[in-house]
Amino acid sequence: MSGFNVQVFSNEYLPPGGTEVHAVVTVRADGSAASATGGNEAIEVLVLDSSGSMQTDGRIYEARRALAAAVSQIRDGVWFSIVAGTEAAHLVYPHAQVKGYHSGAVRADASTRGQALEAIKQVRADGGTAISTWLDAAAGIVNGFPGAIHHVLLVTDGKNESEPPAALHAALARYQGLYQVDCRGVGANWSVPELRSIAQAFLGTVDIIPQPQEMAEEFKAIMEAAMGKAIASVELRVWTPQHAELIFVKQVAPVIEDLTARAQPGPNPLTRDFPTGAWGAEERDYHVAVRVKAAGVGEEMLAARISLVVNDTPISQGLVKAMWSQDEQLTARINPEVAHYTGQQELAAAIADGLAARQAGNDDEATTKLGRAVQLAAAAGNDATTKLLAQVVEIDNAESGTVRLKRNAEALDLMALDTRSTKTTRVRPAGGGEGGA
Amino acid sequence: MSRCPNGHDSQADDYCDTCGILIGTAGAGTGAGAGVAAAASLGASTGAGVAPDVAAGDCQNCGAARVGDERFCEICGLDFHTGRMPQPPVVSAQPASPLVDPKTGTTHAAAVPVAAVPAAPAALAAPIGWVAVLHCDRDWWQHNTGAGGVADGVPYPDPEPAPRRVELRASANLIGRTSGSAVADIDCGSADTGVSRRHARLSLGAAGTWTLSDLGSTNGTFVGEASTKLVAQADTAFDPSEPIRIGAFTVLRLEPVEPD
Repeated sequence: MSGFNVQVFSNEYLPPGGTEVHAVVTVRADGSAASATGGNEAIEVLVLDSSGSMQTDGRIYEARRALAAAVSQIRDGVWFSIVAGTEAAHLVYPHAQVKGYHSGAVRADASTRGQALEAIKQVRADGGTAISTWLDAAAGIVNGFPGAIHHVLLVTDGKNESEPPAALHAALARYQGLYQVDCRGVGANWSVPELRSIAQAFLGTVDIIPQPQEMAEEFKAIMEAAMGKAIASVELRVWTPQHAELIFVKQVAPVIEDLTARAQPGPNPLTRDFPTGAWGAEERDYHVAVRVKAAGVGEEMLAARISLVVNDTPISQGLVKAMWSQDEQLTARINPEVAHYTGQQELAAAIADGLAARQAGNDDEATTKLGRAVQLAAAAGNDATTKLLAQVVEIDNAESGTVRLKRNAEALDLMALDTRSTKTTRVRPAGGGEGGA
Repeated sequence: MSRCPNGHDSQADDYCDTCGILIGTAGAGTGAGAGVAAAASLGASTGAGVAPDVAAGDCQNCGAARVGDERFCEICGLDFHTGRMPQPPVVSAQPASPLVDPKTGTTHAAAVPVAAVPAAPAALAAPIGWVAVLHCDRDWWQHNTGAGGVADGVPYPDPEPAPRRVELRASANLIGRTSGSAVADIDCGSADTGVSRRHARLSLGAAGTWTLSDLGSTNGTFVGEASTKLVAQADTAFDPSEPIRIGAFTVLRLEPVEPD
């Protein structure tokens, strides 16, 4: 009825004296979630890098085409705005004279979308890259729409080189969580850590668009997902008993994201809230680890109560229990969901470490780590990641993790592996068989 | 509202929202409000007419929840093992160890009334010669703010109330927050929600030594200028010249009553 369904997977049985409880919490939102919460207004800001480098390979031409594709995806009634970014941000559309203009945006309809498509044709590539000014502009726009779903698509092809790094850090600190930003880098001249830091501060995603021609399709997909978001702000509320310690809270699907540091104080000292951004009809998994005070054999306690909070109202909850038992048959079992995502986290870490070692010129370390990654990906049936790894290492034996570093791996392939290493596979076969999803 | 086997009041009927323990048979004793959910979770395990196990139940004398498997009721002193109420201590002409103020070295005549505490309910008992002084302490409040601290969401009282003096009348004193029926001997009021309803117990032993025990409070009990956190549920020797810090902003100090 609430539109949100929370399921908890864990082995509830702890050996005598055992204190660590791991659980995978699956949250599924169906279409009714939006109507149950009254739905929200939405504001979409498209921020396109229009610096000089965008002239390379006809990127600006492809970018204009991609923007047009994105604009045509915007639903009627959604507020939208298009910003071109160089060393400063310029409002491409709407101009203040446009009927219905408010705070740098206008509601989408056939007429405003048509005007936007015309304005997009005028975007020229010329100037530098100062991303903090783009974030300032986006903040100025979304601030005019309190309570709405705030989504920003930020696309760049270069590094943030027209301002000191501190300027970007300050902007991230200023606006953290104010709106959701999906970041895309075109080509191979942008910095993965830079865009990742933006996506992490703004609860968004980061990915590479290797070829300019792929932009339109990617924009379309991002807009489809953004338009599907119907609930502005959902928080994961985690209660743990007194004397317990919340070790971590991580999103583990569709992408690994450590949320632990994002904790906000909840309604009482035993409760913490973790913002998760806007939701559409989708499914996300979380891995929660709690250290409790051991109780006696045969006792049962609640290690965590996990609820979803929409507009300050808890609407659905799952319970993580702990029971102490002497039966090793029960206590030694590792829950398959927990095991799967523990492996996926190890895989992501192995890739990150391997790429870092490779960059530092430490080939032995890189070979070991990436070999381990190949082994883990193969074992988990994570074909997408195996494919990405195969671009960077020669795989002699996936099962044993025997690999050789490719001397001349493409920068694009290294970046693709880097940005996508945190994408996970689901442990359960899709609900309705292969056709699902 | 339910009460858990550890004596916490809990909004949730399934597991205690303080300590997380399963609220099983204890739920049966709570009011009609807990009714449906409690009955559902209990299922067939507790049939009608089955008396709750005394070991897990409330005090048969005053109805207060039993803390863990402690032998005596925190509120009325009932001995759960024998089912008897506490007896008055034997009055001796010469107290074996008079109360000595560790600061001044003075011996207090107040030692005598301790021995003379009658068996009557605590409220009627004679003063034992010590006063608990409750302060609001802004430094302690500041210490507890930020980063999910206890004091987040608990406003510092404005205007700041004057220190409150509570004359102690029993050898064992419950420190806690006012709430409904729960009345603590050292009542910290209701403003500091960081104080648990049954927070700690301050006891004066026959030898004139104090012990302090945290009763599994939500936010802990801190002793001394260094604010050392007490281990919960353990009797700890307590120097009465030390401050006790609890909740978001409450500081408690003991003072001997000067003899007339």
